[in-house]
Amino acid sequence: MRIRRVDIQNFRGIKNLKWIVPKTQDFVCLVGPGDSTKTTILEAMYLALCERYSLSLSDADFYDANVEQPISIRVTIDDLSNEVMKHGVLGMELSGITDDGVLTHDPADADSTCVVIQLKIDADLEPVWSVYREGGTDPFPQIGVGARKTLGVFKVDERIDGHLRWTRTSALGRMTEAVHGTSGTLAAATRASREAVAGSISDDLQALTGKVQQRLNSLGSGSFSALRPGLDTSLSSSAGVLALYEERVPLTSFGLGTRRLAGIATQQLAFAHKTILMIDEIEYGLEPHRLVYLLHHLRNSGEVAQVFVTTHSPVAVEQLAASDLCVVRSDGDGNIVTHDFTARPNRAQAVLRSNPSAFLSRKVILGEGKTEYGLLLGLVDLWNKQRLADGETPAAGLGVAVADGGGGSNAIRRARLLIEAGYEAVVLMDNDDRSVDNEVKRAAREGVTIRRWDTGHDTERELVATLTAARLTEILELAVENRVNEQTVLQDLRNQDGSGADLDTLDVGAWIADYGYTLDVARALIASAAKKYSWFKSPYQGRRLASWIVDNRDTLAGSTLITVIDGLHGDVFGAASEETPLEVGR
Amino acid sequence: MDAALRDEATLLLRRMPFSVEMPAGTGKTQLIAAMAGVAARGGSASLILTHTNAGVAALRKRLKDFAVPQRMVHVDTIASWAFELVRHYPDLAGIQIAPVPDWSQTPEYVRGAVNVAQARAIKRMHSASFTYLFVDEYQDCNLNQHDLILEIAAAIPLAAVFGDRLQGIFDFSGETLVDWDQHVFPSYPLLDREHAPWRWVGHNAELGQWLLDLRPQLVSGATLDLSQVSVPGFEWQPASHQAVADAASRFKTFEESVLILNQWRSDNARTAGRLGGTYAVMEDLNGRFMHENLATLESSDPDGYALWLALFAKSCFSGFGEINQPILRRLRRGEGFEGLSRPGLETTLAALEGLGTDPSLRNLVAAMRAIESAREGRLYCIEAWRDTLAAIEAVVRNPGESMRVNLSMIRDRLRYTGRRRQQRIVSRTLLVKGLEYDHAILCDADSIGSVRNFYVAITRPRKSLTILSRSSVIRMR
Repeated sequence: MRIRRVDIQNFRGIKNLKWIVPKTQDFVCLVGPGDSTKTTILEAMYLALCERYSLSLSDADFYDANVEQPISIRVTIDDLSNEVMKHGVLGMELSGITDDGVLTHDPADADSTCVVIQLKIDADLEPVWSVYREGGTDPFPQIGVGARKTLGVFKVDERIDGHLRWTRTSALGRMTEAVHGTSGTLAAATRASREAVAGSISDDLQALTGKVQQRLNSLGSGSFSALRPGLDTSLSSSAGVLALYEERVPLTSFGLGTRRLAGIATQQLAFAHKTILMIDEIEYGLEPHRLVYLLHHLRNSGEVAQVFVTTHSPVAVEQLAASDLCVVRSDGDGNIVTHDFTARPNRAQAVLRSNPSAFLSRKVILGEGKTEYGLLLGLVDLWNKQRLADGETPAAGLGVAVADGGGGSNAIRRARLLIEAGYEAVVLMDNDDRSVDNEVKRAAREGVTIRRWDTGHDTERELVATLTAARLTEILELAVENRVNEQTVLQDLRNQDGSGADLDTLDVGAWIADYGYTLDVARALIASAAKKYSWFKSPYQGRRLASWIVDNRDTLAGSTLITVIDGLHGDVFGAASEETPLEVGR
Repeated sequence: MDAALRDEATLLLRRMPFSVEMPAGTGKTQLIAAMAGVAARGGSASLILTHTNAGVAALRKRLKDFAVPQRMVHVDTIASWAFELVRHYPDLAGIQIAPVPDWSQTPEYVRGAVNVAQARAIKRMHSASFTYLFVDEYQDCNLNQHDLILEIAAAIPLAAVFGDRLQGIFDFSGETLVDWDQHVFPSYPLLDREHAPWRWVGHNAELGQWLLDLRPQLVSGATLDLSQVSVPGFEWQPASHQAVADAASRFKTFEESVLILNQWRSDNARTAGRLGGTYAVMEDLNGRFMHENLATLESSDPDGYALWLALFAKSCFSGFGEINQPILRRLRRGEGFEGLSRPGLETTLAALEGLGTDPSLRNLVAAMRAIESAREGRLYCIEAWRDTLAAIEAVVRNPGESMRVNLSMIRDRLRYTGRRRQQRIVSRTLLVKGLEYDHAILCDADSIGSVRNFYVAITRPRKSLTILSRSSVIRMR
């Protein structure tokens, strides 16, 4: 079972969404700015597929609270289980879906066989579930809880505690039913609860609990060793009095993360075939190590058919492949677009490796190569410190992330990829390579902000362009930090010096006085050696350089270096007045 | 289900796929139901297809007797299964059809369903839904239906087909029926099995055994001297109206069902008319007789309603002989019945006269009700009269609709609900195939048709069989 396509109309913040999930994607992580409706998408999918008899809905669930426009949610599922394919279930309502997500009324051999579950809600707030057929006519045949139950969809949310008790609709209840037959479900649970009071739990139930324990441990939720059914006296109703206990502590009293993991474990066991799992804010309640473990398990265990998660956690994103990501964006008028990276997974993966936060941000500033990236990191660090001191929001709070462009034309390509996915992108780049000019122009047309030095200058050249001899010497001293000692730096310079002069000092003033260098020659030599021997080509050196520039801002005033850097400051923080903090909480 | 039957069913499930020829009354329905029941107990679902709705009803009843859960078995006619496949998958079928079946289109449905059943997704649907496939009355399958079954069996390889070549009487013109040697055996190897005359157990076992033993003689061209037959419950008489009347009036109790068989509907109507309403005429499912009459009505002006009603009533009631030419002439001219006295038919004539004066469909319905409730004649075409009335009434309620379309819907419902059980019936072999009666009277064995018709006819009764023919020696055709 795999969700292949989602169509939503007029549900909460979504006026219109058509989302085609790539054919083979079985792990989908929804990311995007706070009001991009990713949580709403997850909830909509769940409501269409869940096994509830009724939904508590209100006018506020309609887009713009306008009940005149019905809510319509359609979820297309392929890779169907035999149970779903049955004549008495959905076998007579099958459709087809092409590789690129086009639905057909009948399942042709060339296409994938699917069912399209539709949830419609009119002004009367009565949910109607049916099976949609493309090109067919309303009303479509309605489907009850029984058919939806076979879809095996589970969402981890605030209702999770219910699944840690034996009730008719809980995962535990379901599992009992699956293993011991329908007649056994509630009756068995109630009977077992009575037996629990008497101090004896049936072997069946104990064995089942053992399985839950094993699965729970495999999900990385600590080590449970004495999981058993126990009587939950906190509930007055008779259903659900039997709950999971570890020794004497009910699982419902454990931390949120553990409870969520336990819910996932019971759910997986409750279904004979693999489930489609939905987890809103997967990091919720989990320490980073448990989060990493869970993600790893979900992506690689093969025990779940398909997983949909939302996250705001770079720790989570870092564990994923870029092709797992689906960027969700709203145009502000309820039109939602999604973007995935399956077309160019490698390029996206490089951005993700450089900075997992990039895909969680609103705007990404790319440094062309290591030097520019390091410089940017250093600048943003310093600026953040200043802003914090002034009581202003730092870059991360504005949804801005810095990433490595990967050198050469990669940076431009990555920026274009980000623009295509709906992010804002800025590239800081050299201006000495004419072969990339066309691509730079195209990127600019597509909306990438280009920050370039003066024509002909790379970063090193730009740095020294206006420096006096004394300042040049300071640059050489910075280089020494990277190159370990003065001798190496001197050697770097001599290697690059075509004049035959045997430089033996880092005092550039002396070069001019004793060796007859002009200032321009000295600048060119330093720039060329710095570039050749990667003096500033590391984040650490970048930061040092940034720090030096900021300290010497006054003497550099008016230079292109400062103009470009000021431009970057504007890119990151905007004009002071238009600061709009993104996404607070959810 | 007794132990012997369960054992046999269990054994046969393991021997699928196979074909088996089972004579009439040897427990085919109960064997299929038992096999599906054993399968269900083992957690496997079955698809059971047959040709007639009567067959579907009989299978459902037996499955219910065996307490087979409904979700473990799906029973349907081949035509209806084909229709469902095509209705749900028109693109795969390659034809677009109306949501309400038109059974005259059955050949198109079946051809379309072959395309549907070939699709990968539908093969999976079939195999995911059912472990076993049973097809009953396979002798009635034409080649298209055979192709459809082959496609379904490709998805449900554990298939068994049941039939009896001697009961193949669905010779629709222009369609080729399956040939067992050529079509059936290669896919479904023949299963050898001892047959026991179950239908006659507790009723007339000797009659049952005789019918079973008779089978080898029932080949085209053979002769049978009925005067030489000495079996309890069997009687031969020279054919005459009086002989029919005598035989028909012999049964006093209404506890036992009696079937009179003729070859044509017109013969049946005449027989029933002569029997004065004690036997009712069974109509074919499509209701051809009613369709013809409604077609006449639809093409008639309101001025002609009264004449139409008079003629239709005459063909449905006995005792309306006095509604004769003078009456009909007046109706044709649109005149009243002044001066024409018909003692005993006053209410009927008043109804006709009233309708002639103020003709409308609403008044036609009222007149029909008046005539029926006056009981001045005896209604023997009950089915035809009531369904025709219902079709006209539907149009009175919803003006603008077609009476014949409404009739089709009424008749179609019958396919699913089954016929109202009538204890005394005049019918044709084609309509009673698969049905059981206590007694049967075969009116004119010389003209009953093929040897297959003859075999189906003589195997209907459990207790007694009366055959009327011109000569005691009849030749099988």
